[in-house]
Order: sequence, then structure tokens, then C-alpha cells
Amino acid sequence: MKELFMNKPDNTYTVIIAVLLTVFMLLPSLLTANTSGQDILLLYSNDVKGETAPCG
Amino acid sequence: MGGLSKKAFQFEKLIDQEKIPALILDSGSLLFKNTELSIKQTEQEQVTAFGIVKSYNRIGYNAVGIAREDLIAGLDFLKKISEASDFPWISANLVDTNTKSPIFQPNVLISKGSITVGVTALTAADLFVGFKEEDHATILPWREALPGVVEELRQKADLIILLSNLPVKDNRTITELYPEIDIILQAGVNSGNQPPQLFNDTLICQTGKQGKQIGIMKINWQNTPWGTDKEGQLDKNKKSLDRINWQLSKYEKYKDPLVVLQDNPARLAIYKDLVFRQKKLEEEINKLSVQIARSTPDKTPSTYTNRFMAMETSLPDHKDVTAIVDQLNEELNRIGKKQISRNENGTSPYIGSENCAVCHEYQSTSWKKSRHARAYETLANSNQQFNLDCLPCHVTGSGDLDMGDAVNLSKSFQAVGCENCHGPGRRHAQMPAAVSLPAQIPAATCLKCHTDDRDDNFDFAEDVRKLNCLPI
Repeated sequence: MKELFMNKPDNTYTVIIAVLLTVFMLLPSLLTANTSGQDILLLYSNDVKGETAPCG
Repeated sequence: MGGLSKKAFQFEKLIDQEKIPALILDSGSLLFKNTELSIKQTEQEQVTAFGIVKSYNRIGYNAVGIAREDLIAGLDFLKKISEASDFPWISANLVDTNTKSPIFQPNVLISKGSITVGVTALTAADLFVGFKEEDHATILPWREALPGVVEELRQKADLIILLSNLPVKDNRTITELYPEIDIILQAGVNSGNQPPQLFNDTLICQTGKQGKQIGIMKINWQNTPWGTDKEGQLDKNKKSLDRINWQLSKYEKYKDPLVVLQDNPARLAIYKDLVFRQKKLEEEINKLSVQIARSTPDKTPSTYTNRFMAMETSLPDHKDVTAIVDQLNEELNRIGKKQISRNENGTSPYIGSENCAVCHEYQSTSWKKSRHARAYETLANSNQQFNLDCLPCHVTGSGDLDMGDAVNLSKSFQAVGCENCHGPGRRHAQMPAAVSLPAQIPAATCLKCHTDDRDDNFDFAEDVRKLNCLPI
């Protein structure tokens, strides 16, 4: 295992570390993705009854 | 209070602040003031309807339900309105008489974030006789139209919203029969704001009328029923039942309380009420127990917060929608002016406040300081002096006169004058001793204009005192 890593070029380690960091950073949001639900803003009205603006 | 431009401004601001997907819905009774078109103002009312649609397009409404009140100008007119709308007009039960297929869209699916919202609508059928024979249209009872639509939406949508023009009791029955419907937004019920109330698994709510209020509901949708404290409610109900059972135990000494208490109607009424409440609570407890047993505690419930916002006159206006409303008012003024000039005629039982002042100087001086004296001026300042919808409450004697008389005669008619309260004065001016006018006026006279819709703060006693028209 040690030999395997020792023989890799320098940028391989950078890539591995970057991937691991990314996974750890995304982990909390991936774990909670199913429970956070969808937020929606429902704006509603009814019975406007032809009213556009007050008279005067 | 009220106004499309204020609503538009607030909606835009809220969407910008919250930064979550927004859904804008109107459950209907949108286009017309009354339950039938006024003969004199048909053109004005139809032009107004198109102005509202133009504003709703700009606001970005996602759907509007068809209420029976939206059909009073005829089916063809609503079809034209629908063509001019960027949003669908929805009704699941307004159908073709022959084919029984819906004339407008029965429902709409709207993607918001990661979920699909299904919106359908029901039009009230009672008291509506507005279709022509060639319309081939009818309004089906909701029990016939709703099952198919709910079944379709259940398969395609995560969250189902019903825009309902039906009476409250029908909406509550729907919550019992169709737990798949998550929210019912009411219209045509003619009451004020109703915050969301949970009936079975469905929230029912509505805003007050005439666009004076908007409803703002922030939803966290988990594809699960709304979260409520069912265990707490069950516990409360059980304690109430214990108390009622204890009270009823006092009646156990009678073999048959209904017979024994016949001579004591007061106690009999109490006994009957206790038995009724006992039965209701037992039903509630059974229902809640079943709901709790069925619920899956590991699932996060869907939640919401709701508030209403009054469209106060002090709130800012939306620039684009203000332009649409201003353009509409100009058009209404133009139509009104044309109509007024057609209706011109000469004689009038009214003489105007300037003539009243000849004898009633004190009252006239006091009146000149009042807002009544400037009522027409405020209308003219907002360029609505020919708007026949506004005019009757801003001129003298509107109830008995053609608008042409009110506007084209003396300038002293261009105000809410003495005769609006005390009645036409010509005969009194000619024969003051023989013809008297009432000095005291009933509240009903004021309430013709100072309605709840137009003037929430009207206080008859206080406002009459402020007018300071002392009796002669």
C-alpha cells in the first residue's frame, strides 16, 4: 500500500485529498437531504370582487 | 384600503425576501362586485375585469379558480377573459352539458422546487342560472366531478390544493372524503380572514374580501400529513369526557332521566346537552386514536406558518401595476363621461348645498370644513370623477338622479351635500313651513356609502358629532 502511494505522481495526492474533502463537506447535506423537505411560499387571495383600487 | 398595485408590490417583496419557490393562487370571485351585472355599468365592469386580468398577468398568478360570481357576464365573456390570461382559469365541475367534459382546465400541475403541486377548483352551483342554452354548459355537483380529478392528482402531484367556491359545510365534507387534498382555499364565503384550520388532514383557509388582505403561508412540505399535537388533543378530550361522565353519573339515580325530568325543562336541557357532548367526545377520541395508531412517528410531518397582511393605503405601490390601474381608470372615466352625457336631463328635486346655506348658515359653515364637502374633489384628484362605480358616493343626490344631473349641473352638486343626508330640498326651499326635512338622520342613510368594505372605521355617533350640523 505504501509503495503504491509512494510511486504516484504528486498531483494524484492532491486529487485524492480534494475528493475526500469534498465528500466530507457534502456529507451533512446528503444525509439530511431526505428530511429537509421542500419549502414553498404560498401567496393567496380570494373574493377580490372587481376591486382594483380605492375610489379617491 | 386595498388595491392591486399594493398587492403586487408585497408579493414581489415577499418572494424576493424568502428566496424559496413561490406559488400564487386566487380561489375566485375575482372579476365582479355584485352577483349580477349592473345594466348601467356593464361596459365599465367588463373593462375592469380585463384590467384585473392584466394586473394578475403582471403579478404572475399561477392559477385562478372559477367562482359562480365570475360567470355573471356569461360563459363567452369568461372564455375571452381566459384567453387574455397568462394563467389558467380552473374548474373541475363546469362542464359541457352533452359530453360532461370540463369547459376550462379541471386542474393544473405546477413544479415548485423538487415537488409537483396539483391545483384543482370547484365552482358553486347553487343559485346560478346564468348560462344561455347555446352555451351547453352546466355546473356538476362536486360529488360527481371531484373523485376523478383527485384520483388523477393523487398519482401525479405531491401536494394537492383545492380552490373552492363551495359553502363551508361542503368543504368540510370534502376533507372527510378526500384526505388526499392538503389545502382548501375558499372563495365566496363572504367573511373575513380565516387562518388555516385543520379538518381531518386538510387545511382550510381564506382571506377577507375585496383584495384588502393577502394570505402568506410558508410551507415545509415533507410528503407527509400536517404535523399536529394529536396526542395532546386526545389527552385533553379524555379529561373532558371524564368530567362529563362524572356529571352524568348524578343523573343515574333516575331510572330514565328523559322521562323523569320532563317536568323540569331546564334540567332536562342540561342532561340532553351532556349526553350530546359525551357522544361527540367519544367519537373524537375514537377518531384521534385511529389517526395516532396509523401515524408513522419516524416520518417528519409537513409544517406551515401563516399570516395575513392588510393592504393599507400607506403601503407602497408596484410601478407596473399602478400604470395598468391608472390606464384602466382613464378608460373607466372615458366610458362614464360618454354615458353621463347621454343621460343628461334638466329638472331636479335637489337644489345643492349653496342654496341650503341661504337659510342654514351655521350648518353650512360647519359642513364646508368637513370631508363631505371635498368628496368630489378627492375623486377628481385621482381622475375618477366619471367612474360610475365611485361617483354615487361623492356627489349630491346620486340615489335619485342620473349621473348627468349630478355632474353637469351646478358645482354645488359636486360634493356630498346637505341633501345626501336630509333628502331633496327643492320643495322645502319653495315652501319651508309646509314641507319639512328630517333634522335627525338614521344610521342607514350613512351606511349606504360608509359600508364595512369601504370604511372599516365608521362610527355613526362619533362621525355625526364631528359633522357638527346642529339641529335648527
